[in-house]
Amino acid sequence: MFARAVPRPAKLHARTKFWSRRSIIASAVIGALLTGGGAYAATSWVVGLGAGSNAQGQAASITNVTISAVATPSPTNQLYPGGTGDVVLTISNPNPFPVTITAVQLPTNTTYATGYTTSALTTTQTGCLNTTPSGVTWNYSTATSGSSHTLTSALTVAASGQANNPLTATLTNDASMASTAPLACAATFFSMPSLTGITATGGAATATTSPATDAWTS
Amino acid sequence: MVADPMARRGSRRWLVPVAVLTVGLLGLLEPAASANWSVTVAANSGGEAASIAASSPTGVAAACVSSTGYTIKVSWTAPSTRVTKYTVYQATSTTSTPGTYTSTGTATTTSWTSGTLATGKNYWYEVVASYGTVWTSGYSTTTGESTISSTNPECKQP
Repeated sequence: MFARAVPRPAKLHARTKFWSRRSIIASAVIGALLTGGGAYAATSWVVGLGAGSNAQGQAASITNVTISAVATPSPTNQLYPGGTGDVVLTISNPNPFPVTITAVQLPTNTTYATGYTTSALTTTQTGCLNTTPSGVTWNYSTATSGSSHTLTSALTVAASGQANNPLTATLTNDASMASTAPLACAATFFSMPSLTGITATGGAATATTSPATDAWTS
Repeated sequence: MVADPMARRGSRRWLVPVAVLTVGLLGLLEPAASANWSVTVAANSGGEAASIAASSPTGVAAACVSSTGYTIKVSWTAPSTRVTKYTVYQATSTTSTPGTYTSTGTATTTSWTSGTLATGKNYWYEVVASYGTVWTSGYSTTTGESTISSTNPECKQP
């Protein structure tokens, strides 16, 4: 004996159709986001269903970007009393997305670099320490810690594990030596004082290729 | 047995939170360009710079300007484009051994010319470079020498 199909109640049938339409909408949204995720990251995310349903993601964070001294390439534009010189560094991005740096924040103009006898920065230079002082500071630093300086061209460090991360960069003429710098600071390598911060955003962007150059003029 | 329509409706309902969860996960992987970026920089995040050496001039030469004028022109090779001044040191002697070097003049280019010199003496020259008001190099690595003879006075090169 065959079971007889139970006809759907009219009310239940309408509710089922309602949810079916919502499923289609949800699938379409997910499909669009998955296929266009790269471009979509640059605009606000739409989370939720139906007209008027949108929300912004949680406040995003970029963690532990590391900026390190590097001897290669060696600074070819070197410091001299009353002059400026290049700073070379590498930028490491441990985040799973590219990070674009648009500005850096500097320590004060009385935060001095320590001098070393070689580019390995292992043995300090007698008579040329940050406490001497060496007279070497970040160019355009001011009496206020955290003064911000915009890069001429933004530097984009690729996501963790990708090529050009770490990114090597030369900041042209971004170190300054006082005219009163001691003679002991001649033929010396300097570990620049730590930056106090950077201004950056994360998300899809074309990574900058190493080695990069940049500068700021104020 | 006919499938329970209530069960079917329930399975579709789960599609919505799954979609939300998926979108949320995608957001964590590649967050939006929000204005609320929080950025941390590791400690000791600086870079490296280097300074020039306070090098000495090289190739110092002393030559007679005129065989009768008893003046000597000293010239040399610049060690760096960052030199701001040169100081010329002169030593004299009637023998082949120079006496004590003393400062005799300064220049901002790579040559210097003496005034009228006494005859019958040998003249030696060394040059020191200055880089600003604090840095000075050691004496030049070479010494220029010239002689103004006392007999038949003329400049003579050694």
